[in-house]
Amino acid sequence: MSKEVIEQVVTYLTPNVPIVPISQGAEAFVFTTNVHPYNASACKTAGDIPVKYIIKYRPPKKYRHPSIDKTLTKHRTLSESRILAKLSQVPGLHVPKLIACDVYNGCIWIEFIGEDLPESHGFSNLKNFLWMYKTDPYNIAVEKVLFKVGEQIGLLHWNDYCHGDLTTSNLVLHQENGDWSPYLIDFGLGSASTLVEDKGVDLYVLERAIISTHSKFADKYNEWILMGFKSVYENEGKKGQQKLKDVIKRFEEVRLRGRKRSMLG
Amino acid sequence: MVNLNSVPPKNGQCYLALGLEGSANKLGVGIIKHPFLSKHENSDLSHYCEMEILSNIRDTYVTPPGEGFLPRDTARHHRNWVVRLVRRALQEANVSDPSQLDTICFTKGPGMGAPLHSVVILARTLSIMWDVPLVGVNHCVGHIEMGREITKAENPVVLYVSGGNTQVIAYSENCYRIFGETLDIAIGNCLDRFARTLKIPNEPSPGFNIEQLAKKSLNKQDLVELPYTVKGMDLSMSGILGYVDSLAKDLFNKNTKNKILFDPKTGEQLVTVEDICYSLQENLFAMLVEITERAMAHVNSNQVLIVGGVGCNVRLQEMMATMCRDRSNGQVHATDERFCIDNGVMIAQAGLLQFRMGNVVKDLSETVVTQKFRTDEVYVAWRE
Amino acid sequence: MPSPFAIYKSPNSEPREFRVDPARDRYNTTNGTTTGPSAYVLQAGQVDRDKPSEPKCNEQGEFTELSILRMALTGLQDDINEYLTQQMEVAKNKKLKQDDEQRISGEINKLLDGGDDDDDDDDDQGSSSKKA
Repeated sequence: MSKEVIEQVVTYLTPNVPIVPISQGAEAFVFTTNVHPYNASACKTAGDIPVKYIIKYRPPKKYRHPSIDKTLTKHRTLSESRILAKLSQVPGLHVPKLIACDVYNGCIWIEFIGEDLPESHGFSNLKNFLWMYKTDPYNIAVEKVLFKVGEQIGLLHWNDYCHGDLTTSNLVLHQENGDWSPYLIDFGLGSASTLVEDKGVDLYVLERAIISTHSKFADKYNEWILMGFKSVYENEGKKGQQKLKDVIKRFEEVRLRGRKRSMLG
Repeated sequence: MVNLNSVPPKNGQCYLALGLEGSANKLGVGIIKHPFLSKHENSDLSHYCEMEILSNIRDTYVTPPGEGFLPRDTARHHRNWVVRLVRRALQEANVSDPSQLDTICFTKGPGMGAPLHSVVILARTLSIMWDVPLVGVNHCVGHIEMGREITKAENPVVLYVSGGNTQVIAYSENCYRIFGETLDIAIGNCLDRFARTLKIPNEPSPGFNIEQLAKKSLNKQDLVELPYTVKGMDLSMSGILGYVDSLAKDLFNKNTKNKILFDPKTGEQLVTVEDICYSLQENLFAMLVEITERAMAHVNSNQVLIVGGVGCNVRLQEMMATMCRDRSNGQVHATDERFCIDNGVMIAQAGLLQFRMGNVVKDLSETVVTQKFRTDEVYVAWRE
Repeated sequence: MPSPFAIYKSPNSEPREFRVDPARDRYNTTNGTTTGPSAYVLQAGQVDRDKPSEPKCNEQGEFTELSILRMALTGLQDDINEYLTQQMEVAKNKKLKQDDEQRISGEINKLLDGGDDDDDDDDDQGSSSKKA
């Protein structure tokens, strides 16, 4: 990870906020910290486990003109924060809570979701979870989780939001009363959208992600996800049925054309 | 491991290939040579063929300022020049007996129908006349293979930017997968059309002339704000073109009501044509670099290869290099105008790789050219 | 050397044959009447540097075989282009007539069915799912 960017973040946060880098994407760096930005009592440990928060930082991009950079950073940080705030009000939908945002410095603080999987199977995202079950791929626990993943996406779409980058790393599992509950994270490409096209593409992107990382069991896995997805719409009566038909139809079209339309040379 | 030597060369020592390109307004004829080496028998060296360029001849159909090229006139240009160009290419390459060629490669698509047709007719004729097998080549794959051989970039993320295409491509499992692309017009098309609005010359190329104007902008700190339209991995440019077109028209018509261009109180002009060109480039290229970086993060690559006519733009190369510097071990590979701009050598290079894998035209009915031919439709047998 | 010829076949018309007619001017030049530059680029100030070269003669002052072939093809191309342009015109007129008839019959039906339109979206969806 670029040393320079880490220095920028440390200068911005001051040494009072210790950070641990965890990942670098094309657009943002992600850190964890145990300091809450404004509520000192929230920094205390809950039981034995230290409380953690996520800091997502969009560093300035030197390749682009400063005025483009400023506008984009502000716009994207703001839009991601807005979506998170709106989504956390949707009953049944699991997204990390937004704690604070500083759009001018491209920084947001969010709740930390997830834990380490047993027997050093890594962080509890869907990708690692499925790997953990690769010797027992059709375990009921896997089916349950994938059905719930489908439900989450169904809820998101039913409320006219799209994720834009659904991969197995952007689904994080959180344990509640011994059950795994999937959370949608990273809404950097998310948007409010009523377009069936966006929803179809969302489903297609996740399907591709499952196929490319867990190809042997992908058929069953995708089937379970779709069952969960459909269940949300089917609970919404006639209107839900009709909308579901439209989304699924478009999803199949998107799959057929392989996401990309044929382009003239 | 790949065996690039499955079909031995005619003379037993080296392969000779003729490439014919004419999918747009450039007509190119190139002849290349690959030595026949045992290291290519069992390896993954399709970017290290030790290609030698024997000739690389090009002629461009240029229209007057403000005009684009029509398929019909472009095809006529190609028809009337292609024989002369082939003669020159053979002469320069010192190929006295063309039946010694191992293969004749032509552009199968994508491109403009009429110009593609006029070139493939010559390819068929030469193939029958000299009894040399044909290979049909995907134009985009031609750019990629040429770029890999010239720069020796083994497995780069490819940004393909030209008059007809804008794609971010990465190799995976015998296929050049398209990660992101334009949803409407190509970047080169956007620049060409804006150049037409400005009525600046089409020679040497509209994009080059915009680049020169952009350099002359005296107000580089204040950018004219333009729409920034990256959509995930894809981008859209028609809205930006429409917007800069309207700005340019207001500027020419001295429409002082436009507050971006003229001071509302004094009527003084605030923005020049040069400033708009500069802003347009900064905006479009930032979008390109962004989707390229996204693809790099996605496939975990640190190399970029820029190909296609717009790839010659020095500012684009510079921005890409800055982006790469912030990634660990990032490298940018670009080529100069001899190879960036459409040419016959690139068709020969991709075609010869295909030939060496035993993939040649068996019946003339396979030589039908096609305007639509996606990069990811090609089975890339020559890579692992 | 035999003369080239062309046959055009289409399901919508009788086959048409094109043959070289050395008596006509168009079979004695390499510069076709339908294969020149577009009028619009010439208007924009284009200098035509893409003209085909003149037919060549041998030492006896006769046209070379290749030049005779090129002239024959130039004439054939002109004949074919004119014929195809004419065919396109015919097809276009036919389509216009068809479209017009369709439009008129559509309008009549609409007038006759008038007042039956149901613009309510939800109801439409309801009825379509009932049918399904």
